[in-house]
Amino acid sequence: MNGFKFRSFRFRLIAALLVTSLIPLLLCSALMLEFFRLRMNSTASSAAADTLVSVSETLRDLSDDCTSAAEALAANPLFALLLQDMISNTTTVNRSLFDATANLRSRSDVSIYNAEGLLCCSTSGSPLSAALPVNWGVLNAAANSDSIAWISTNSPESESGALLRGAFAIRSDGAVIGYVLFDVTRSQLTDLFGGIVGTQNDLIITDSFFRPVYSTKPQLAGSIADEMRESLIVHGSLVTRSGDFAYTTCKQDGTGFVCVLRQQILFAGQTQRILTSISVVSVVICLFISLVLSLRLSEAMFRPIRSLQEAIAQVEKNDLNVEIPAETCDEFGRLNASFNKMTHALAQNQEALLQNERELNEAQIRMLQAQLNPHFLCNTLDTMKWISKINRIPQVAVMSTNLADILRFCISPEQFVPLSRELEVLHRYIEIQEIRLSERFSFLLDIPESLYDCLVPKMILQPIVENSILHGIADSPAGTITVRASAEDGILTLIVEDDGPGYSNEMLGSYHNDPPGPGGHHLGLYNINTILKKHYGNRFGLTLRSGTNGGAVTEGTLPIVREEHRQHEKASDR
Amino acid sequence: MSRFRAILVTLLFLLTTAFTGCVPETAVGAEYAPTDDKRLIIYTSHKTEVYEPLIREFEERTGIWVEIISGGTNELLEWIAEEQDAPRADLMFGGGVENLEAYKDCFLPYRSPELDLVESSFLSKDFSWTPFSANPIVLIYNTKLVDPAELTGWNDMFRESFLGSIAFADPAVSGSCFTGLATYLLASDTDNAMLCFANALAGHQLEGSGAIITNVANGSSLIGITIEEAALKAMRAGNDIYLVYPAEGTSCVPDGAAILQGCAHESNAKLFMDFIISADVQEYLERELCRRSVRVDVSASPDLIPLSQITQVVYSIESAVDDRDHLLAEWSFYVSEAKEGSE
Repeated sequence: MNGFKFRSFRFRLIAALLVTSLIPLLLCSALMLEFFRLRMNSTASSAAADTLVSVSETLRDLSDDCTSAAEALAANPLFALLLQDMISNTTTVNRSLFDATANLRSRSDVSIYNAEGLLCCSTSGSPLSAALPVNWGVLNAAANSDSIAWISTNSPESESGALLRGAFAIRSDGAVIGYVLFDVTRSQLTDLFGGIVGTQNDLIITDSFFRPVYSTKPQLAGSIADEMRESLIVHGSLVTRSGDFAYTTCKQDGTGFVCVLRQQILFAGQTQRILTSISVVSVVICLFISLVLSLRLSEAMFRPIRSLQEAIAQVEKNDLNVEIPAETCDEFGRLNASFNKMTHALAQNQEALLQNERELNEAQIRMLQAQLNPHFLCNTLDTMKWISKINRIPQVAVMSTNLADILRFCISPEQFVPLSRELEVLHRYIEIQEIRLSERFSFLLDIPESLYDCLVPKMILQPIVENSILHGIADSPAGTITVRASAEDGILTLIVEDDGPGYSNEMLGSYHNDPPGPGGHHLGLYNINTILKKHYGNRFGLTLRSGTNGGAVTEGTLPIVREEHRQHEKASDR
Repeated sequence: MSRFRAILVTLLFLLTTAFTGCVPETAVGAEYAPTDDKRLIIYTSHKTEVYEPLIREFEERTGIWVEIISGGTNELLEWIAEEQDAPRADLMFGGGVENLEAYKDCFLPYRSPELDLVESSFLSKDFSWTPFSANPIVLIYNTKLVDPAELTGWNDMFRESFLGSIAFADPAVSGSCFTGLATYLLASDTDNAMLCFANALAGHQLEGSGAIITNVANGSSLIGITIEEAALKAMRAGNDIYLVYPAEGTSCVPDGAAILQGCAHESNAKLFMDFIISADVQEYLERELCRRSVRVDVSASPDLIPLSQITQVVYSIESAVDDRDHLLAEWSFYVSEAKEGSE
């Protein structure tokens, strides 16, 4: 579960890194590409517009020059005579023709035809058609117009024939008497436009119906003109982009011809592909770097967290000895150090608590025992013994001696004594009681000698016996108290039995260890039971029973611990 | 979180627009395009060298953009019949008037003012079509192999020397050969005229009328039956053939043009009709294209002898149309018989 949660954090990390690295990269390259593309295109289109303006002006100038030449020829009376067949074509006529067309001849051949369409004279060196139909083509168009009429003739690929033909009708008194014809061949057009168009672009000239007239590359004329015408008829718009080329169109209104400039698009096709592949490669590299970095980062973060998790799991199992080695000085290192300190403090705390409890127990026990050990009483009793011996009062001497013994025994530091010793002290007590109670009771001891070296808590029997004397013997004239001991399964059972009234029923069974009520009733039994239980555990303690003759039987159980064992334990403890 | 998401979405959108640069191209150059009233769509079966100069001149003079769809005569006429409810074109230009007559239900009758100067025998009874150029059927012979005296008329075809050497195409396929056959039958006074002709052919027919000129010129056939225009063109090109107008009489069935019923540019079509039978175009036909004008006021070119000097049979276009299937069936029967006979 933890692993899965972290896996998604790892993905979040990867995603975050990717986004931060990819988005600026993509944005940057996309915007840059777009910007360059637009810039290139705008530069190209303005260049195209300028070129076309030049081309258009060149055409217009040609047309204007032809018109002025035609008007000059028309105004020249020599030619009027020629047209009316009054003179023949002499060198004078030709010279006049050549003079009138001096500035024009490089761009166009000039011919004069009469009203029937027959050739009169010409500047052209190559043979021309001797007759042209008057009611057809350019002559017909010229007759119907008062300015120069232009048509296209011949295929654009024609080498020698004229591609452009202009005609101007010479009129006299409103009637047409002849025509001035201007023929422009392909080479003349190439000379005209070569310098303007440049080598990288192509110029195509068509008529206003987009029939091809001329092109810098002759084979282009037909295809591009057809494409344009098709687009206009079908879509009602011009072609501006086709494949890797951009087309700009402009009409020269005077002649009616349309000029189309074809430019190579700089930012298209292969260039675009190369730039796109560069972008893609950069993106892939970016992706790869992000991936690698994020993986390493997440690993670096995951490891210390994982070890921390494991350590905490161990602490949950109550093993506080765990320690995480602090490897780095960063946040994780400090976290680990804090964790170690915490577990250490916890362990110490636990130790202290345990120690405290043990000390408390011991204090309680000692307190219980100390209730019986006033120190000065001992000394006083000794003094009493000596005074009574001096004054020869033997009973006082015996009582005080015994009491002193008992008291000394109580003061002595050891908590556990052998049963034999305990019995000695018990004898002392009995002697005192015998003197007090003037032999109203008898005391029997039935303890096998094999048990003499069992270690018992100090003053364990006396309170029980006292209890029996108090309640069992107190109101009767005579009684017997028997103290027995038996051992079975490692458990020593000490029994004190009297033949008195016995315990009331509710007191029978295991001793109820309620704290003694006011007046100190059964304080002794309570103490003994507590001592037994505190020392040896809850299994042991006092049990109250009824004797065979209705007397009280008080049983105390404790484990058998022989004196030698205890000495061994004490030796090993040291 | 939702704000962060909104920002992310905006960023992505910017990215995509930057990448695609989606700015739609606006239509450029609409002013160059022809308006609908300056357009004309023509179906033509004429060859390019015939229609192109006429179209160009028409465009120059009227400013109307003409679109040409070419095809075979029968093919185009079938399209016209199919498209009767929504005609794609405006005008049918080309095809013998017999063919046009058969489809006259598809055409819009139009009486051009120029028709006043057109030879009356060429006119359509109800003006459903307009004649364009006249095409007399002529006999041609190879000048190297045949003496002029040997071929003067239809009957000369049956000379022994010409047996199996007559260039003639299947009249079911070739319009000009169909006219030729019909003309022959009208001109001939022989019984079993068809049988004689089929025998003279020895059952051999060429795939198309174009092969007739070639075969005679290269000598594979000695004589042939074709139209005047093809013969004149071949002669002008310098081939070794010469034409003969059959003495018994020949037909002069014109080819024509017709306006389609329900066409989109009717007025422009009418202008074109006026144009093609105008004096300028008819003179151009004779001068440049070796075709015979249908006008009375156009002086024939020096290559063409005047129509008045040609013996003509009375060729009824209507009956030719009606009898067509019957004629063709009979002909194919005789031809197959003749073919069997000759093998």
